[in-house]
Amino acid sequence: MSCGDPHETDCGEVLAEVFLYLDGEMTSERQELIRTHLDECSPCLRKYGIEREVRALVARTCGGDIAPKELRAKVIGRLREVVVETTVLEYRAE
Amino acid sequence: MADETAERRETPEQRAARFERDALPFLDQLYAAAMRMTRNPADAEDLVQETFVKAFAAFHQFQEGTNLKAWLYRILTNTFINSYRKRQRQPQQSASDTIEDWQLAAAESHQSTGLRSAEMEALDHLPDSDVKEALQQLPEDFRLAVYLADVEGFSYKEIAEIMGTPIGTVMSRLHRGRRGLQRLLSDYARDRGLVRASATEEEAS
Repeated sequence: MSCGDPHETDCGEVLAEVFLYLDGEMTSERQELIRTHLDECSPCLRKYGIEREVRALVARTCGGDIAPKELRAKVIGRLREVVVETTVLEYRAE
Repeated sequence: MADETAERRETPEQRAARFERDALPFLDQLYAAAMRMTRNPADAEDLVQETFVKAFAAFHQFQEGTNLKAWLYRILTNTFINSYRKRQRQPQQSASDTIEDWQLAAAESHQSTGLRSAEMEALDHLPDSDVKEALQQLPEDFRLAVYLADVEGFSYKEIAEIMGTPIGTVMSRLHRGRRGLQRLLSDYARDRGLVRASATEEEAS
């Protein structure tokens, strides 16, 4: 899939690095090259758009669970138990 | 240095107060991650409790000012891998088979470009539960990498630290995980009749 026009950066190279680009995991020079390519090449831009959309879809739908109310109380309860145990141990140590 | 002495002078109660103030706000986020790991609420609750108890026990070693969220995720992941996964033992999870099948599938579809534009529009109409389910179907390591990157927004370096693997492994898991996810999503869209088979063929030709 290529638009057929010559580019400074090869389409294959760009598509291989689309993830890195999306994840913000490349040097700014490299990022600039990819951005230029995406501006010039609509097939690559479309591919990039799909990757970005899927990423956003996962972010929107796969997180954000709210813990049950009792869980907070349970965790605090467990911590209090640990504190009491530690205090007793420290007291004994002294 | 000053911090170290301060910490040593801290009573267990003070440490607990500091822990509740700084770490407990991550409860919901850790629960969501635990849900993606264990795939059921009861196990997720247990895993989160265990994580907080372990984190509290090690909290005096945690350096204030460093990344508390990543530190907590690391404990969560380790707890899941070391004690939890063994207990869960779901048949489809029996490790290496799944991964090998997966690698095979990934290699076969290497040429495939993943989703097409026509399918992309259909994805907006997929119920959220389908997307969650698709993520749940990924092999564990891929699922976790995708979750940590896409939902939690951790950097590759942070994910590598959380999962205890080299960055290259994180990248490969992410890549394969996202590819797999796209394939699954496209199947879901087609199963729900959101994409006409002809629409995808037209575009492919």
